[in-house]
Formats: sequence, structure tokens, C-alpha cells
Amino acid sequence: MSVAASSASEREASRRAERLTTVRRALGWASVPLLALALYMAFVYAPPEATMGQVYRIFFFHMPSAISAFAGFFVTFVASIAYLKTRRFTWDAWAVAGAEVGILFASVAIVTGSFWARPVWNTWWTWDPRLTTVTIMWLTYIAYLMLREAIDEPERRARLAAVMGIIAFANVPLVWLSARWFRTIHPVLFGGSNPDAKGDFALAPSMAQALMVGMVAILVLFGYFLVRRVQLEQARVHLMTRHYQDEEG
Amino acid sequence: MSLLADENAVYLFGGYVAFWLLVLGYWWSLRRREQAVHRELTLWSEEE
Repeated sequence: MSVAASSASEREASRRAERLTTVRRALGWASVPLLALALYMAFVYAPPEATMGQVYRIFFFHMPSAISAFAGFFVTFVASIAYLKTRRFTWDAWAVAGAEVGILFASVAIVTGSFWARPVWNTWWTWDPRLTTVTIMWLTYIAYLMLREAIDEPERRARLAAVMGIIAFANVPLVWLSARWFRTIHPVLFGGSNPDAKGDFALAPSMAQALMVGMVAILVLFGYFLVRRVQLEQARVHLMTRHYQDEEG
Repeated sequence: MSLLADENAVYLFGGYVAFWLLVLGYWWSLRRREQAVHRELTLWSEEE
């Protein structure tokens, strides 16, 4: 590559990094009032539920967290395909960011779900199809991160992780469908119903509005963490590539 | 019935405390890792 072309590509990379920083800051600042509004909607605006009373309000952060986890794993899936096609490390950074932030929100969904289950199902945990498939999904993406940590060479790590990022996604639709296909006590609020569900309820219009605000707030927070983790990974790749080149040279 | 008087208030607030602990814990972990990488990058550029 000529000196002029190299400097043009560096300028373009720097412009892209600045744009990403602007997006990250916008998402970060937007998430603060949105989360405050979502808390207000969840605790004050939405009415108590007829049978569960107040505890159902966990739902307003539980479901958006689960959707954010799916979004994170979808980012990993798409970025992994893009990496294998282009071999550009920026896709690898998006893939690892999607997995890590996806694990965070899956953990949030599991823990908040557990707090909801204790009074409604009378247990913190049960090996119900939805909970079992979620656990498998969570462990699969933990394994994805462990695989990445086990390989030092950047190109090999990115390639193997991309393959795993694609395969791991196979379980994600299964988690969504598990409460629709199998006999489970987990409620289904959208796209079907579940006669065996415990803790099922009909969404009143004000509950739906509180859910929508919670969804937007948590997706914005998800976007903020995702972009910030992408930038961290880009800096780490820069550092590791130099380490690796030093050792090779 | 008020939120605090609900018999399951401890689970409701427990769920939200857990949410914030996980989110803030992750934010703190990101910050720590960013600081470590930037420290190393700064050291490197000073060596050059």
C-alpha cells in the first residue's frame, strides 16, 4: 500500500472511531432519563396486577433484558458471518461485544426472573423448558468467551470464535420457541398463549405503555454497552497485534 | 395496596436491586479494562 493510501485509510479509520464515540455518548446520555422514566412507568404509572399484585412489576425490566440478550447474540451471529466473509477485525470486535453484552442481559433476565418466580411459582428455579434452554444459551456464550481467551493469535482466535458464534446462535430461536412448543409454566405474552403458565396476565394498555418505555430504555442501554465494548475490543486488538508482532519479530 | 405494604415487596425490590448491581458491575468492569488498555497503549507510545 502506498504512503498516501495508507494515510487515507488511517484518516477514514479515525473518522469511523470518532463517529462511534459520538454514538456511544449519545446512547449513554439518553439512557439516563429513559431509565428514570422506565422506573417511573414500572413503579407508579402501571397499575397493580389483579392476581400477582405488585411483584409482577419485575416484568417491565425482565422482558426487555431478555430481548436485549437476544439482540446481543444476534449481533454476534451477524458479525461472525461478516468476519468470515471479509476477515476484518472490526467485525470480530462487534461479535465479542454482542456476546459479552448478551451474557450480561441474559444474566439480568435470569436473576430478575428468579426473583419473580419465587413468589409466583413458589420456587427460585425449576428445570422448565424455557429456563433450561436459557441456561444452555447462557453457558454456550460463556464457552464462546472462554474459547477466545484460550487463543493468543488474533487471526486464529477470530476465525474459530466466528465459527462458534454462528453455531451458538442455533439455540437462540429455541429459547424463544420453548415456551410455545413445550409444556412449560413460563408465561407467553406475545405470539401465542400457554394454558399451563403460572404468572400469566393480560396486558392492560398502561402496562403495555410501561413495557414499551422499558424496552426502549433497556435497548438504548444495551446499545451504549455494545458500542463501548466494541471500542474496548478495538483498542485491545491494536495492543495484542503489536505484542504478537514483537514476539514474532 | 402500596408497594411497600405488598407481601412480596422484598422480591420486587430484590429483583430491581439485582438489575442495578449487574448493570453497574458491568459498567465498572468495562471502565477498569478500558483504563488498563489505555495505560498500556500510553506506555507503548512513550517507549517509541
